[in-house]
Amino acid sequence: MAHEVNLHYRPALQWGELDPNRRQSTPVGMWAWIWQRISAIAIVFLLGLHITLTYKPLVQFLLLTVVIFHAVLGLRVILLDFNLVNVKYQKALIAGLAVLGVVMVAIIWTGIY
Amino acid sequence: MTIEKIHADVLIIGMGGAGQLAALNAFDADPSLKILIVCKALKGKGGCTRMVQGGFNAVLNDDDSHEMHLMDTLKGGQYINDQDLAKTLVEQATPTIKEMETLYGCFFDRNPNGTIHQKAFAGQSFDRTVHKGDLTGIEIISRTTEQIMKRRIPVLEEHRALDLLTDAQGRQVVGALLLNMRNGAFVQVQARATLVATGGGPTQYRFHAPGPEKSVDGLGMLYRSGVRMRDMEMVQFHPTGMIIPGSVVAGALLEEGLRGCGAYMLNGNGERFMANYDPARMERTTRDVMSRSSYLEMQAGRACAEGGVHIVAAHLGPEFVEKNFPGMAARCRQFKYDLARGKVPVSPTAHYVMGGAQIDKDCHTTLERLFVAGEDAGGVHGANRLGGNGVCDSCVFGRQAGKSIARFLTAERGAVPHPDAARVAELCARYERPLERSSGERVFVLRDQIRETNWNKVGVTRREQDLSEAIAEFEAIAEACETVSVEGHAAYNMPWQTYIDLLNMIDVSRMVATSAQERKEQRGAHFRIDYPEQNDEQYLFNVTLTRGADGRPAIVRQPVAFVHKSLAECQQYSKRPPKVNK
Amino acid sequence: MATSAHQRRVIQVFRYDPTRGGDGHYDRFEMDVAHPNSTTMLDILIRIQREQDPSVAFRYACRVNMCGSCGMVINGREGLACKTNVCDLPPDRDITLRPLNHFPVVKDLVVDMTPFFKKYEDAMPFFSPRTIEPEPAVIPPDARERQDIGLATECIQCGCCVSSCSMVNYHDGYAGPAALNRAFTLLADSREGRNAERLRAVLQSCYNCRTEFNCTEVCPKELSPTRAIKYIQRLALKHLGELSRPAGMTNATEEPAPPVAVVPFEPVLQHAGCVAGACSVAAAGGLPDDPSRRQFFRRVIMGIGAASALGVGGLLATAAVGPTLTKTPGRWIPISPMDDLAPAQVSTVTMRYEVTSGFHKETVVKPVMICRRADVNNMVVFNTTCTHLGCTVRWDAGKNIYVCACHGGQFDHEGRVIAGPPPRPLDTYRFKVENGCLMVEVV
Ligand SMILES: Cc1cc2nc3c(=O)[nH]c(=O)nc-3n(C[C@H](O)[C@H](O)[C@H](O)COP(=O)(O)OP(=O)(O)OC[C@H]3O[C@@H](n4cnc5c(N)ncnc54)[C@H](O)[C@@H]3O)c2cc1C
Ligand code: SF4
Ligand code: SF4
Ligand code: FES
Ligand code: FES
Repeated sequence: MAHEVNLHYRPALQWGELDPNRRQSTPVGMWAWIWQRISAIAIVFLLGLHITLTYKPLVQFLLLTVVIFHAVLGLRVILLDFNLVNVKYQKALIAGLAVLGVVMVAIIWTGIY
Repeated sequence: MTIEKIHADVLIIGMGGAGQLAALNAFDADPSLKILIVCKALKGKGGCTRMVQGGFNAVLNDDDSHEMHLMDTLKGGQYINDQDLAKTLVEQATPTIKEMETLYGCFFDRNPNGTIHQKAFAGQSFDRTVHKGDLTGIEIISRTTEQIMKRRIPVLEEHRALDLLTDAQGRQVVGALLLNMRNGAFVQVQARATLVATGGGPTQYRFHAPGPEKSVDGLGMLYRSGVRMRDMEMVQFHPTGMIIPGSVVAGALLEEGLRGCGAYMLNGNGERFMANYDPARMERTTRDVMSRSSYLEMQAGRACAEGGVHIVAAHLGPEFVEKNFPGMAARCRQFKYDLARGKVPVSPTAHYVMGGAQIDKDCHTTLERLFVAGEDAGGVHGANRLGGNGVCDSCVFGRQAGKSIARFLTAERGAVPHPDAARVAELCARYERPLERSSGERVFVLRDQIRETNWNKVGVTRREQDLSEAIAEFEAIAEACETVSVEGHAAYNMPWQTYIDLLNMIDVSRMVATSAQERKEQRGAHFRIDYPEQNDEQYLFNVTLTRGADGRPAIVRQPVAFVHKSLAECQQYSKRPPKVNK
Repeated sequence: MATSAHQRRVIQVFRYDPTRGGDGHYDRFEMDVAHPNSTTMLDILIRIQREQDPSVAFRYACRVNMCGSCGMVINGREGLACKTNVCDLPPDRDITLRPLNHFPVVKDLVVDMTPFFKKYEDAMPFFSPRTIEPEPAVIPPDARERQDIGLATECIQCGCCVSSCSMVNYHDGYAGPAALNRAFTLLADSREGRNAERLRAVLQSCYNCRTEFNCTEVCPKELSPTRAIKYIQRLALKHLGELSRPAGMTNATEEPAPPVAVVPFEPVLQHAGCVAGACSVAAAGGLPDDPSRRQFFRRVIMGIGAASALGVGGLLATAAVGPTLTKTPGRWIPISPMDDLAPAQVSTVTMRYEVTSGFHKETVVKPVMICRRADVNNMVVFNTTCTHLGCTVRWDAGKNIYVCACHGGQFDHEGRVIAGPPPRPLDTYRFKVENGCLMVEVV
């Protein structure tokens, strides 16, 4: 009996495939990575806008925010890569850098305009 | 039906410490050997070697000696150990543990000066237990599994051995019949030498410490193949298995070290009942006395609400407990018990089978080409095993077996007889029968029954009438087994696997109960309520047995051979006051 | 005692039947849980098997978090079934149990871990002593290497981390967190002899890690493979020189070649792979699942990568090169006949000229302010671009100042800053008068 039936393994499930709860369970570190990629694309886009539509405060503000956001997340990876911050504090690091980012945006924006 | 056939020089059944060390040592002695490991779980994941918390006893210190380790082992075993095996154990433990570090890359805990740290363990005259935190087993098994990978020794995972295959006369073992659990196909292995190292594992009791994956398969197989077994009445119960309502985790251990450090036990009325059983040593008494006392309290109606007794460690201070027993504290926390501040319900739990196949120090059995090592072998520990001697036994005798098999195969060049095809076909048909029935007994119910019977009648305490009743119940279960039906396809069919587990449990339960009837005294882990005294006059023998023509155990008494230490020496040593741990 | 309220829970279990094939689906089970505090996912599965559907398949061995057999995705997150209790999961939601990612599914929740072990083995996880010593090495517990290694050797090979790492999706050759974690523990071990080889074997993989920390978050042993990966990367940086030397020149290898001595015999090899006997698993084999999908992903990702690279590159190039092209010698632009500019007044005139920047041509239209004093030959031509952020400045004849509307910058008639943020005076143009026409120089 066992021997007459052809058995098949199911090909490996991919990350998130058939997994209704994956998104809400995605940890913050992964979001940091995803958002850094998204901000990279946003930078390219906003940079284009910035060049064509000069001196539109809205575009400038968005560009500034996204650049800082991206930079801050890049800083996270550098700090972790070189063990300047212990990986155990990675979540605190994200929070800290997010605060730093907001402060930087605020300072630059109010300082210049 | 055609079944797949494999040829190997060495077939190793089981991938715990014993199986792995045998494979490594056989390979290193002769890399041209075709070794095949089969294992019921995933590569390196099965078995109790992985679950070792306490550690590994070995003499490493100049102030300690093999002599002392041997005397401790004999005292623990209440003199009925095979002294040759016990001597090999203690002498080979030293090189074995060193090889673990220097060849296989284990790293055990260190003293501040960088040498290996050895901790105290109950029943020992010297602190000689090598450990890695409270997860010694993971370190050992992970490192040896990697060495197997390094040597590219093939492993069949999720293939369980069903039965050993013998030649027509039943004198030599020529391989084994396996079942590929993933697709339900049978596989026949023909081998020039076969090692059984499935690690015993008394999971046929309601509360049991070993992982439920083990089901005394090796002992069942050995018995059915006609090997001589010994000391099967000796089943060790650990006093502190957690009680967890509604969970298979019930029976999982809380470390002995807790009591060593001063944790105490309370019955349902909140009394420190050890005062009535062993007022001198109280909770620091040996495993068997402690288990027995708790069990008697529970029987006498003084159990706590959860059905056991309580262990209390809170008075040691929460910081102390969290720092010294992090693993235990976490295990309790998972089930919302607070080891550091509250009390935890515990019960004795079936832990270890001292009995097993009769072997010599090179792991030969009474059948040709068959080797046994580790918990499946009997004799090393006699009537009781010291904490820390278990994994030591598996590693030492696994190593012995590997070397011995390599020597055996160099010397013996003859062809292996073919397994009897008709017998193989008959076995396959028999194992498949439940899949073919459309209705019948439910296997889980029967397995629960055998666990209850064993627990109540062949457990911590035994008496003549209970044992006879138990044997009758086992026969009834065996009969009911003939009508079990299992639904569905054979591929990864868990109820079907449970059915096969059950067949082994039945055989082993028969052996334990019958041997327990033979020993009408108290000795080590074996306690007869009807004969509560140790009797050195009449009972200095080992209960050995083989499978009789009717399928029941045929018993032969074998007097203990005091080849290295005399009875007087042993008795004298036992009178020494126990070493008091700080 | 673990007193906890009885709960009724719905459990969605992933089902896949190897005799039928297909994609798999979820089955819904409902049950009363009397002790949510002490009931693990494993207990739930065992109960489903005994009470509702004996055909559910799952894997376990030790049931006490020690063997790593029972890894699965529980409510969207990897974990051990025997370590996750009912009370750990929100009571108002269904419990969803699904097999691990990245491993072929044998049946229901049971996966084939062969790809895991394959990658683990490739990372050379085995100890190979530098020299064979008679005695265990003397290494104090507070030695630097032991501090670094810490508890990282306690991995139980459960595969949770590999399942959680989305990079394993995209990089077939990625060794994955568990293998790298083990490689790290040996790389840090002073007793180990084959580290040069090992570092070469795993380094490439370390650059596949994107510092997601998914592996660290899910590890039931609370290990951090991310930390291990970072360690290896830093180690590689320290040994850049050696690594760039061709392989084989590295020292350290005491031992002969890896002992491949056994040529595993035929039938077993077939078995020991993931070809499970009669299963026609060979097709599903290692991981070559759905190649078209993977390839598609890879192309899309490469496409996006290339496009962004081009975009950014282009922008940088025009920004960097464009200006240098125009900065070549100034040009003289005619502004206005001198007669049109009243003396002792500021007149604003619009100038027009064409510029080519790279391949881009543009007409600049821009006002300039000419301040002609009473003494007609004394003249200044101001640039109208505010020196703060570039808004256009205009002359306020009433107040006699130049003002910028953007942030309130003010300049006096000489162009000096008198208010607002501008950092320096207004810029001026060089000018000349030719044939009665005012010309200014633009750059
Ligand atoms: C919870 C616990 C804690 C312990 N703590 C200690 C301690 O601190 N100190 C100490 O000295 N001892 C301890 N012991 C005892 C010790 O761990 C065991 O006696 C010893 O490890 C057994 O080793 P083994 O190699 O014989 O078998 P195991 O390590 O149990 O391995 C058995 C192998 O056989 C395989 N197998 C089983 N059935 C089959 C089959 N039918 N076909 C194929 N393969 C099969 C299994 O998958 C497994 O790979 C402890 C035991 C337990 C359960
Ligand atoms: S940290 Fe690296 S290895 Fe871990 S999940 Fe993220 S990408 Fe994978
Ligand atoms: S690192 Fe952690 S998650 Fe990964 S296999 Fe090891 S124990 Fe499992
Ligand atoms: S069953 Fe072993 S880790 Fe869960
Ligand atoms: S741009 Fe003129 S003041 Fe800011």
